[in-house]
Amino acid sequence: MTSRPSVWEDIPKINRDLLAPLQTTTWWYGLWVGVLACFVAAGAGAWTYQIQTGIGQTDLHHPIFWGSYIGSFVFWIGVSHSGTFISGVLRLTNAEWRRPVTRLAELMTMIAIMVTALFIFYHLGRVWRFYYLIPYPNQREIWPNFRSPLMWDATAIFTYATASTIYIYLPLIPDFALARDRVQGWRKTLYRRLAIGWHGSQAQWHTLETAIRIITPLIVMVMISVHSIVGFDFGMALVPAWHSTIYAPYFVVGAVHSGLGMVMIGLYVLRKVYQLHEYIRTEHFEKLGKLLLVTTLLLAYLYFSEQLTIWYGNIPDHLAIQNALLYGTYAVPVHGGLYLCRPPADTGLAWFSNNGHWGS
Amino acid sequence: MDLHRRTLFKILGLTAAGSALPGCERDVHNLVPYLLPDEDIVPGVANWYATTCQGCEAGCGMMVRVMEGRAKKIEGNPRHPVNEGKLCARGQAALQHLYNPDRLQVPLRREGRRGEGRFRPIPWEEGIAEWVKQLRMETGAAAMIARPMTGTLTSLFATVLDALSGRLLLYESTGEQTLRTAHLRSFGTPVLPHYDLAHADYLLSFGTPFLEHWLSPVSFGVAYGKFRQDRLMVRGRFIQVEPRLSLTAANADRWIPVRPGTEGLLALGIGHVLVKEGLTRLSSSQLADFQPSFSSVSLEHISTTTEVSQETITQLAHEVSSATAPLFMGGGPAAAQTNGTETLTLINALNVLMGVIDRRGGVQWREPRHSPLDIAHPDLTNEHELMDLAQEFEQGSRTLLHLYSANPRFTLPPSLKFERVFERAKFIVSFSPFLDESTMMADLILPDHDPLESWGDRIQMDTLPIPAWSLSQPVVRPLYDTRPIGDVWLEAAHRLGGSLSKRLPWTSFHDMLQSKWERMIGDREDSSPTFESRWKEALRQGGRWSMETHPRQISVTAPSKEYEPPEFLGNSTEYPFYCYPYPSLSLHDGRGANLPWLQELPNPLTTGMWGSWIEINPATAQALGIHAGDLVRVTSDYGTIEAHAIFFPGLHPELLAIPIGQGHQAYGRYAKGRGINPLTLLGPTFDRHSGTLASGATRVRIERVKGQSQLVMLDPKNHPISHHIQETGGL
Amino acid sequence: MSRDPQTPQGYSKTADSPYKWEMVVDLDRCTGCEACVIACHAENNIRISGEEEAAQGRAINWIRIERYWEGEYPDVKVKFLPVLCQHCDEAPCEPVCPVYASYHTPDGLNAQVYNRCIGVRYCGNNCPYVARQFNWFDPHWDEPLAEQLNPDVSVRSGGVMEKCTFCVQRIRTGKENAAKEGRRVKDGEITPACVQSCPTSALIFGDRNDPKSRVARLKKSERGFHLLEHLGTHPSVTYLRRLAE
Ligand SMILES: Nc1nc2c(c(=O)[nH]1)N[C@H]1C(S)=C(S)[C@@H](COP(=O)(O)OP(=O)(O)OC[C@H]3O[C@@H](n4cnc5c(=O)[nH]c(N)nc54)[C@H](O)[C@@H]3O)O[C@H]1N2
Ligand code: SF4
Ligand code: SF4
Ligand code: SF4
Ligand code: SF4
Ligand code: SF4
Repeated sequence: MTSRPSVWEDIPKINRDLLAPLQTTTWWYGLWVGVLACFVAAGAGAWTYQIQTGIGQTDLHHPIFWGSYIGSFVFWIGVSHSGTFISGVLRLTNAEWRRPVTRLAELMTMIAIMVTALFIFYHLGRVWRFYYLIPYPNQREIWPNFRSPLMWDATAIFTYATASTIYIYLPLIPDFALARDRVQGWRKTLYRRLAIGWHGSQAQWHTLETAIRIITPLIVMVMISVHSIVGFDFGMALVPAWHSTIYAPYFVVGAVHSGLGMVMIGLYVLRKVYQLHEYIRTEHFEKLGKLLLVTTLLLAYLYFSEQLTIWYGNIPDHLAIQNALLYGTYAVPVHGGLYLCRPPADTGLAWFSNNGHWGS
Repeated sequence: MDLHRRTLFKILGLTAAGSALPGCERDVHNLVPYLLPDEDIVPGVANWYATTCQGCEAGCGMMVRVMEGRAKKIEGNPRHPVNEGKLCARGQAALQHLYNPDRLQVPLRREGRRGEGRFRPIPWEEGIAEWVKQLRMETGAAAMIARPMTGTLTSLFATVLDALSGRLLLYESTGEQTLRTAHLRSFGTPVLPHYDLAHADYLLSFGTPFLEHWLSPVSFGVAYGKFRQDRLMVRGRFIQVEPRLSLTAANADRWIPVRPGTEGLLALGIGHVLVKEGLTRLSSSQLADFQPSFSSVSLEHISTTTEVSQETITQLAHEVSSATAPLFMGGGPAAAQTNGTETLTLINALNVLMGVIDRRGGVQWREPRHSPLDIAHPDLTNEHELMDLAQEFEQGSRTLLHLYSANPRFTLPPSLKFERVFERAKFIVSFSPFLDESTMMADLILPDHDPLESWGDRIQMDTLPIPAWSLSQPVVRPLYDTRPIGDVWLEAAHRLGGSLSKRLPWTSFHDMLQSKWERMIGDREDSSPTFESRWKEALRQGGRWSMETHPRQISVTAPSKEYEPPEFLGNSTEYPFYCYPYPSLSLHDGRGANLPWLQELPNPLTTGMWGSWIEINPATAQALGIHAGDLVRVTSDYGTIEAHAIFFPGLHPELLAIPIGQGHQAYGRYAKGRGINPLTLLGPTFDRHSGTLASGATRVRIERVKGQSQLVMLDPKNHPISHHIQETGGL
Repeated sequence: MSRDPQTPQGYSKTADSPYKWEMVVDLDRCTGCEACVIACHAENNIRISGEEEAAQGRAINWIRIERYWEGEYPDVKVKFLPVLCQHCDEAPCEPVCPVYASYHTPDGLNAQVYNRCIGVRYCGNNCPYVARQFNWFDPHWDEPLAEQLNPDVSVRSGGVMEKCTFCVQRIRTGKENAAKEGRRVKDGEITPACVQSCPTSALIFGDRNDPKSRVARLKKSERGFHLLEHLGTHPSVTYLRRLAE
C-alpha cells in the first residue's frame, strides 16, 4: 500500500478539488470546445465529400483495399482497451494505486470505442447501406453473414461499447450523487436521473460492490476477446502475411500497450491543466511505466515471432511481403519507425517515468 | 440451419436475377435481315444483324446485337469463312466507333486558315453544291485517298474519278504491298494465297505478325488453335524468325532472333541445305530452275551475317524436311526493309522447294469458277506512289484532294514531305467521320455514316480458303445528320450530268448495291426463286461464299541468283541502333487510338496502356546507363522522339522497337496529345521492288534525358499472385 | 451446412442444381491476343477507367492476360495466362462478406449481388487470384458511349465490388430456353462473351456434370492443373499446360 491513506477530513477537500471544473467554467474551456468543434466540422465535411464523390478519395487502390482506415480502426480500438485493462485487471489484482487512474482510463475507453465505431462507417463503400450489417427481421429477409469476421467484429465492438458503458457507469453512481447535491438547474435533474436514487446506504454500497465485482472479470474477458476478434479480421484473410495465428495475442498486447501510452499522456495533461498533482502523483507514472515496460517487451517478442513464423513457414508470397517489409520498399519506415524506435523509445519512456521525471 | 440456408439462397437468387435482368429474350440469335421498323421492335428482345467488319483489311463477318434500336454487342459471324464466329479486340470495339463522342455530326466548312481547326456547320445542300462546283472547276485534277477497299463503293469511286480523269489511291501502311510484289515475282499473281495453317504441321515464319495484324489475324487465330490442338496426335510446331520477339513470336516453340534485314539470307541458307542434301520435294527438272539460286552461297557467311549458327540453320532444314506439311510465311519486319521483296521471294521459294503449293496445309490459291461481276478490286497504293502524288500537287497538275478514312498526315513519315499536298491543294474535301490530322486540313467535310449505319459490300479474294463476297448493312438508324458516302457521290455524279449520270443511274447507293448483287447472286447455285428472297438470305447470312471454286493458275519462278542485302539510312557510328516502329496490337496504325476500350487494353507484352514507350534490350540499356522507366530520346537524321523506356528481354541488342498508334495531334479526346508517333524518325527509304516504305531501315541513336516519364502499366508482377503462380502453378 | 469441404467434386454434389458450370483454359492455344478482354468489357458494362484511374491501379478487368518473361536474350520465352474469377468451390471471398453479397449459387458459380454489396472490400483482400475489382468512384461514359451498355447487365455504382460472373446473364437465358423446351442445356449452347470471341478457342465453357461435355472431358487431360491449387479453393477453371519444346 504505497498510496496515501485517505483521511476522513480530506474528503470535503477532495470533493471540492475534483468537482471544481463542474462548478466553474473558464473562458478557455469554451475556446477549447470551439477549436475541437472546428476539427469535428472539418472531419464531417471531409466525410461528406467522400460519400458524395466516392470512396476512391481515400487514395486506396487494388490490391490494397483497406489501408489507413483499418489502421486507424485498430489503433483506436487498442486505445479503448487500456481503460478496461487498467481499471479491470488492476481491480482484479487489488492494485489499490490504480484508483486515481481508473476513471480517466475508463473514460478513454468510452471515447475511443465511439471513435472506433465511426471507422466502420468511414470505411464502407456504400455507407448509406450500413443497415445491411444489422441483424433485424427485415423485408429483405436476409440476415447478415455471421461467418464473416467483420460481423464478429461489429458485434464485438457493440458488445464492448455496451459493456464498457455499464462498467464505467456503475462506479460513477455515487459520484453522480455527489454532483447532484452540488449543482442547480437542468444539471441537477440530469444527475438525479443518473444517480438513480443513490444515498450511500450500506446496502446500496454492498449491492454496487457486488455488481462491480461481477462485471469486472466479464469486461476483462470481453476486452481480450474483442481485440482477438479484430485480429481475426486479418488472421482469417488469405492475404499473404496476414494469414497467421499470431494476430489475436499480438493485437491484445499491442492494444494494451498503445492504451497505456495514451493513458499516461492523458494523465499528464489532466494533471497539468487541472493542477491535480496531489491526486495524480509520480508514483502513478512509475507504476504505469513498469507496466509499459512489460508490454514493450511482450510486443518486441511478438514483432520477432511474427517475422520468425513467416521466415520459417517459407511460403513464397508471404516471403515476398516479408522481403518488402524488411529489405525492400518498406524497409526504412519499418526499421526506422517500428523496430528501431518503438521498443527502445518505449523502454526509454518507461525508464523515464520510473525515475520520477514525470513529477513536478 | 440447412433450411435457413436454402431459403436464403432462394431469396438471394431472386435478388441476383433482379440485378442482371435476363429480359424476355427467346432466341439468343434472333437473326433478321433488315433494320426493323419501329413498330416491329419488341422491347427487351435482341435482334442480330450480320454485317462486315471494317476494322482492317481482313473483313471478318460480324453479328451485331441490337436492342431497342441500339447496337449492344458485336460478335463474329459463325458462318463467315474468314473468322468462323470469332472477332479480334478491334473488331469488337467498332461499337465505340459508332457511339464515339467525337464523331462528326454535320457537314462542316472551314473558317480561318487551313489547319487551324475552326469549322462552321453547313447544310448538306450547301456542302454538296460547293463540292460539285470544285469538281467542275478542277476537272482532271482530282485525287482521292481512301482506306483499302473493294466492292461496289470502290466501283462508284472509280467510275466517277475515271470520268473526271482523277486518281483513286487506296492506301494503308499495313497493306502488305511488298508481299503482293513478291508473289507477283514468284507466282505471277499479286493475289495473296490462303496459307493453310490449320493443316500444316510445321510453320517457319519469318516475322509475320499473323496473330496481331497481318493479313487476317482472326482467321489465322482460328487456324492457329487448330494447328496446335485440334488434331489427334499432331501438334503443329512453330518457329518464328525475327529481331524482336513479337506477340506472335511469344507463341512460337522457338524464337530465332536475327540481325534486322537478314531474314531472306536465313531462308537462303535453309534452302541451301535442303538443295545440297537433296531434301527438297521437287522433280529434278523443277529443281534445276531453283538450284542456281541456292547453291552458290556460303553457310558460314550466312551464319555470321544473320547471327544464327550453322548448326541451327542445318537443324531447321532437317526439321523442315521431316515435316509432313511444312509451311513458310514471311512478312512484318522481314518485309520492312529495302530488300523486303527479295526476302519474301526467297521465303516463297522455300514453299516451292518443299512442294506445298496448292497442297493441304500449304499455300493455296482458289478462285470462283464463275468470276463475280464487274466490281472493282483495285490494287493498293504504296508510299512511293504517294510521293509521286505529292509531286503532282506540287506541280499543280493535281489540285483537288479527297480523303476518305485515310489519314496520311499521321500514317506517313514527315520525311516523305507529303505535307506538300495539304499545303498546295486548292481544295480539300474529307468524307471521314472523325476530325483526324488529315481531315483537320479539309476545306469541306461531308461526314460519312458509321459503317454500322451503312450499306456496303466487300469482295474478298485474298488469303481465304474460298473467295467471299461479304455484305454490310445498317444495323442502327443513323445517329446524326451524316450521309452515306455512296449516296453523296451518286448525287454528285447526277449533278455533274452527262455520260457519268447515265452510267450511274441509281438514286441511292443501296439501289446500286442491290443491282450489282442482282447479277452476282442471280445464279443457279441457289434454290430460292426470287432475287428478293436470295438477297434477304444473303443479308441474313452476311454475304455469299458457298460458290464453286477451282485452283488459280500460277506460274512459279525461281528467285534471282544475286542476293540483295538490306541498306540502312544513317551511318552506324552516329546511329548505332536499328529501329522498328511496329503497328500496335490494339491501335493498329493509329486508327484505334480514339476508342477508349483500345486505349485501356494493356499491351500483352509490356502491359503498357494509354501511352507510348520505347523498347530496349536490358543489357544494352544497362551499358548505356538507362534504367527501366527513364525518359529517353531517340534521334535519327529525320526526327526525334522522347518516351518512357521499357526493358524488353526479347529484343536484338542493337534494335529499338516502338509501337505505332499514339502521338495524335487531333482525332478526338481519347487520342489527342497522347504519346509519340515513331514514324517521325523514319527517312524516305523504300523496298526496291514494291516501293513500300522500308520502315525498319532508318538507323537511330538513343540517350537518357532528364525529366519525368509516366506510363500506365497493368503489371501483375506487383502482386504476390505471380510469385504464387510461378512457383506453384506449374505453367 | 452439409457440404464436405474435402469433396473434390465440388459444390454440385450436394446442391440441388443439375448444372455445374466450369471453364477450361488451354494455354497451348492462348495467344495473348486479348480479344476476350474487350468481349468481356462490351458484354458486362465494364467501366472505362481512364488514364488517371488506371495509373492508380484502378483499371477494371474481369479477365486479364498475365504474361511471364523467362530467360535472357536470346533464350527468351513468354507465357500468357488469362486470369478471371476461378469460381472456387471453396471460395475464400464468400464467408468473409458480411452481407452475403458474395455467395455461391447452386450451379457452382461465385455470384456477386451488387445491390447487397456495401463495399467493405474484405472479399477483395481474400481473393488470392486478384479477380475482384472495386468501383472506387461512380462510372462514367462520355455521351453517347453509354448507348452501347448491355441492358441484361446492371451498371455498378461506386462503392461496389465486381468481378467475372461467367456471364451469368447468358447462363440464365440458356437455362430458360432449355427449361421452356423441357430439356437440359446442351453442350456449347451457352458461351460467355470471352469464350465466344476467343479466336483460337483457348477458352471452353460448359457443364461438368454432363460427362460428354467438352469441359468435362478436357478437365481430365493430363495437361490440366489449377491455379494455386495448394490453397484448397477448388477452382472451377482448369488450365491446360502449354506444351514446351
Ligand atoms: N419495361 C418496363 N419495366 C418496368 C415498368 C414498365 O412499365 N415497363 N414498370 C415499373 C413498375 S411501375 C413496377 S411496379 C415494376 C414491377 O416489377 P415486378 O415487381 O417485377 O412486377 P411483376 O412482373 O408484375 O411481378 C413480379 C413477380 O411476382 C410474381 N407474383 C405475383 N403474385 C405473387 C405473390 O403473391 N407472391 C409472390 N411471391 N410472387 C407473386 C409474378 O408472378 C412475377 O413473377 O416494374 C417496373 N419496370
Ligand atoms: S481482324 Fe479484327 S479488325 Fe480486322 S476485320 Fe477482323 S475483326 Fe475486324
Ligand atoms: S481471346 Fe483467347 S487467345 Fe486471345 S488472349 Fe483471350 S484466351 Fe487468349
Ligand atoms: S477467384 Fe476470387 S473472386 Fe472468384 S470465387 Fe475464387 S476467391 Fe472468389
Ligand atoms: S465488398 Fe461487397 S461483396 Fe465484398 S465483402 Fe464487402 S460487401 Fe461483400
Ligand atoms: S466469363 Fe463473362 S464475365 Fe467472365 S471473364 Fe468471360 S466474359 Fe467476362
